[in-house]
Amino acid sequence: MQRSIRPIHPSASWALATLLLLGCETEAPDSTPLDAGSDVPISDAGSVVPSDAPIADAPLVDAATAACAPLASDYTPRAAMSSTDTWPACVSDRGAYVRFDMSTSSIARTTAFERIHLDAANGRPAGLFDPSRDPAPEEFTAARMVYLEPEGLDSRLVRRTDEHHPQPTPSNDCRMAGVVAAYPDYCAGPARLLPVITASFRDGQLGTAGTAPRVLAARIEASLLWFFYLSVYKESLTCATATADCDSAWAYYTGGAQRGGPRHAALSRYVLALEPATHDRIWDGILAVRCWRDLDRANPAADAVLRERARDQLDRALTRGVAVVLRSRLRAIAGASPAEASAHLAFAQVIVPLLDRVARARSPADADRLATLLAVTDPRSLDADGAVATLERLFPCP
Amino acid sequence: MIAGALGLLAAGRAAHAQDLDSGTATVRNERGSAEARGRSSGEVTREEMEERAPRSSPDALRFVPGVTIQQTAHGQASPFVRGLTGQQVLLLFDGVRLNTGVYRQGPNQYFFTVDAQSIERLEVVRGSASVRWGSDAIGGAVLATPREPTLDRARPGVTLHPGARLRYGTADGELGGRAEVDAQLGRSVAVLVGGAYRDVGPLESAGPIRALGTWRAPPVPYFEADGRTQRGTGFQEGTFDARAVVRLRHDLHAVAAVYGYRQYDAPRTDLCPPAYGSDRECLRYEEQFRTLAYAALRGNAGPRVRELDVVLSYQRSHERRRLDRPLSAATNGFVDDVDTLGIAVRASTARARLAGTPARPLTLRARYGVEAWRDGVASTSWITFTDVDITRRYSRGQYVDGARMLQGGAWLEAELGYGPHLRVRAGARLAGAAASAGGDPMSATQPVDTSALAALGRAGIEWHPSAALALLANVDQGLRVPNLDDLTSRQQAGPGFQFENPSLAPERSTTYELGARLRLSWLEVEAWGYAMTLGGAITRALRSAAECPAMTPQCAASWSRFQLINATGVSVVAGAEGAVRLQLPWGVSVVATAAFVWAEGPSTEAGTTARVPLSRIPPLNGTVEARWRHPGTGVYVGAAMRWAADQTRLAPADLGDARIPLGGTPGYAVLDLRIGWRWRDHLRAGLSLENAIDSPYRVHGSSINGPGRSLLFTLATRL
Repeated sequence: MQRSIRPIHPSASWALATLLLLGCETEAPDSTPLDAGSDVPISDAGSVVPSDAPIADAPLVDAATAACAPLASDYTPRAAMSSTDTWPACVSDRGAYVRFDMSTSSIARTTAFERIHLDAANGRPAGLFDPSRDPAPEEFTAARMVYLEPEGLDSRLVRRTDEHHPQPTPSNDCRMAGVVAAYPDYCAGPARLLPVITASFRDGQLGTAGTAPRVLAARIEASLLWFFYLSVYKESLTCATATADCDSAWAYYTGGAQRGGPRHAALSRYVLALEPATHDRIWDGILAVRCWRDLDRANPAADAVLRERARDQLDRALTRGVAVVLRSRLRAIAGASPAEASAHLAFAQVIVPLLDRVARARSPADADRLATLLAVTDPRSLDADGAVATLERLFPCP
Repeated sequence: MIAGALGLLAAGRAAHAQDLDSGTATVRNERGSAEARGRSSGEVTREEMEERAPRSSPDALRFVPGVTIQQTAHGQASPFVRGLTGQQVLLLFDGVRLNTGVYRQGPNQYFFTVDAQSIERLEVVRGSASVRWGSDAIGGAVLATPREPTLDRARPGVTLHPGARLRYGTADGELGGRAEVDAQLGRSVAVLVGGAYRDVGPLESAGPIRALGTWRAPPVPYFEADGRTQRGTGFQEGTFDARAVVRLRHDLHAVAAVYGYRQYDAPRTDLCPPAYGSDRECLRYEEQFRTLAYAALRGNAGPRVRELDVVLSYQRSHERRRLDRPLSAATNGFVDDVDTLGIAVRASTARARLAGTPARPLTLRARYGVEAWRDGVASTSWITFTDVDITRRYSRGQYVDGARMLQGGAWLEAELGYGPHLRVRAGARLAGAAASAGGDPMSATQPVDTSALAALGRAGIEWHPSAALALLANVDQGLRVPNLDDLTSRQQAGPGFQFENPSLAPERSTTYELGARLRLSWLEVEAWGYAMTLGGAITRALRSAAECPAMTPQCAASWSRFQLINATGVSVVAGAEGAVRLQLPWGVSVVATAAFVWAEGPSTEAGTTARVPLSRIPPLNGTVEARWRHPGTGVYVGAAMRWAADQTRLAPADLGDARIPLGGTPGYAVLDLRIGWRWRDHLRAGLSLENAIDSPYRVHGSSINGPGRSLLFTLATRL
């Protein structure tokens, strides 16, 4: 069918097309202007704590630790290169961690933790986790950018599992929102840690919440340290199917350093400064895991008994390491200003619930006591000595 | 297959002599067809597209032998030609180069931005073809020819042909349509104006495929609770086009055209959610736009200048991506824009008789051209903390903002004919390219200032021992100059983090191919065997964390890190492809195709001389398509099967690619059934039952599985 009509000017269709092509693209947003009034950190004149180091303990001659002999089943490479223990000779006997792969991506995440704390190259020479000062909102923004880097801390934390708890079903994992909601203990990363971190960054960036910025920073610090703790244990398990995960277990604790080497990052930086003996025992555990995978080269690994011996040794020492870090914060409360003490308390209040599982397994009464002691809002009302004593009873040995 | 063809030749009678001469100049740019002569090529016509009802332009190529269609998302698809894709396959639209300076290594989505409803014909030239088409034609070239407005010089006044199309599919709830007007304004002016929109929902497959060896479902795509619907597969799409043709003389026309593509909210399926991330995380292409406008002068400009084609073009590609991380209250944003200006001048001589007798003349014809393309890139990225509404820009985007690339060349091809039985073709191109980009100290990005000059050649012979049979041999060179993606991009690619190499040199290929074509009244057979060498192949090399660029923490944090390098040895791609078309009595036709490709190259791992498979090489695959048409009523019925064997030859980069199941991609066979009715040009209705046996399947390297058993309905009218 054909119809003759008045010609339409050809430019009409071109005008329509031009409108479509010119008017539709969405511009990239500009950076949000900084809040000029809130970028100056608030100092706490009463601070006595150095800004870039873990909280130092008083000189510690810990009788309990000194008395903590390794179990008969432990791998002890520091004792005559493992010749006195029950473990066969393996790659770890010389005391150094021998990597499976040249590159270990987990190291970058421990480095990110350090950059969240300090990033002098990008204008943040003061420590975000320094409890003697209140970080400015822009510091939280800068730190959160590091936290959210692609393949960075957040990318793993959102799916991090606590392998101390049974996996719900083999096909389920903590990628799924439904599984996270149903199994918050197993899906500890997204269920327990992520809400704390996200809320703390948010409130820190806003700078208007009622909570002191240093308290928010302490919660982030504690959550990330717990993430590393979970990661070491998780990677030591999945090393059974992917040997590079043994490297990750090592890296998540050390940041990629050897036992006595420089540049310890993340959890090992804290523990090494506070209790070298425990650091050494954690190292022995990491080497035990590596030794198991050297002795058991099947893929997937076949010797579950040896694997669990190694992982139990590692986890026992690592738990003590976290307890030592917690203990240092509890002890620091006594001499701290009120603002700083609040940060220490906030740190402790994040960590204690996460230690509750193993504490309760060892002594329900002490677990209850520790939870009760920490359930205060004012650090001045905290019985820090009592909490430390309870902690020592619960976690006396690495 | 060649032997079979020769045998059939002895028994059969030639239906028609194969036309050795190229067609005369027409309004449409016919150069694709002309240039494909003597080459291994395949074609998809408008009629075939209407009956097969492809979801996209790449999808329309599914039945071309030697071509497989990889899909990283439901709204993205990338044609593999002889095992290569992305930067190594050149895409052309009406003779205008679509490849920009930011085409990525590996599959890309850009051919999806060509609206299949605006296409009259698709043609695939297989094998290296850079002499004719320039950089990127390593694996081949895909030539899209748009529909033309009706221009009948015998008809005065104004004539309008309004038309409309509608399609609905149950696999993804696709509902869309197109409205158009084909208008002739007087005897010399015609315009075709159209616009289309479709809303595509999540794609339902037949369920997960199982990895070879482990029998476990691969981590992508993410299936909803029904076990069939694939998350991250819906999108919206709008297109518009306007094409005006003005007859200047009986054989010379001016053409002005604009083609726009607007895609919204198209998730990248393998990252929505990512294989190992939260199921609430999603990378989506918020805006994938492409606008192409050009003006052309086409036709014969006198007895000496034939098939003149002068084209001035402008193309803008706009890409806005958003990575949603709701659990962490953050989104990452990216915008990459490319503006491309182009000019191309092509022409041919008339066929000149040099010597010989009238029955066996010795003739010569030459084609020649010059062209230049300039890309300018704008690129930025940012992060938004959604819970506090704070945005921070990063110092650079995926590419370096302000990067520029200029490339072009001059070429000449000659065709020597001897009688009706022999054609010898030869050609050469001088190609050049230059790229520049500034540095970015904040991300330790080095500046780029590089250029390259290369000479290429080709030769071919086509011998017709009889009217029905043609035997062909070709040697063709290909070239790909490193583009701005190679030289400047940093991105999370499928296998891992990839960072730039500003020192790359061009990669060059040579294709050697032998072919045979048999055309009888009831049978057509075409078979090709080929081998391609690829020197200095630009490929991904694994890098350690220590080799990452400074101030790029996401590089060291990635499981795998890659840098593009020129491989030190020669890569080889070899294979065969063929097609058989059988015309049976009672209007029944059967077409079968098959293709096989094998490829390997030097390992990029330091300290080894091992050779490894190239990445994402398709397995043995093919199609069988049967069709019956009743000439009296216009009713047609068809059935089509697409099949592929297992692919277990994986490149090192494939092993870390979540799109490829552990151990390889399982083979499949998928059956489609079609029925339809066509009433002249005025009405067409079609109904397809896709994947009738509801077979779970995935094209090797894809993120998505193909549709499960579903219906696809199409309706088209034209007055």
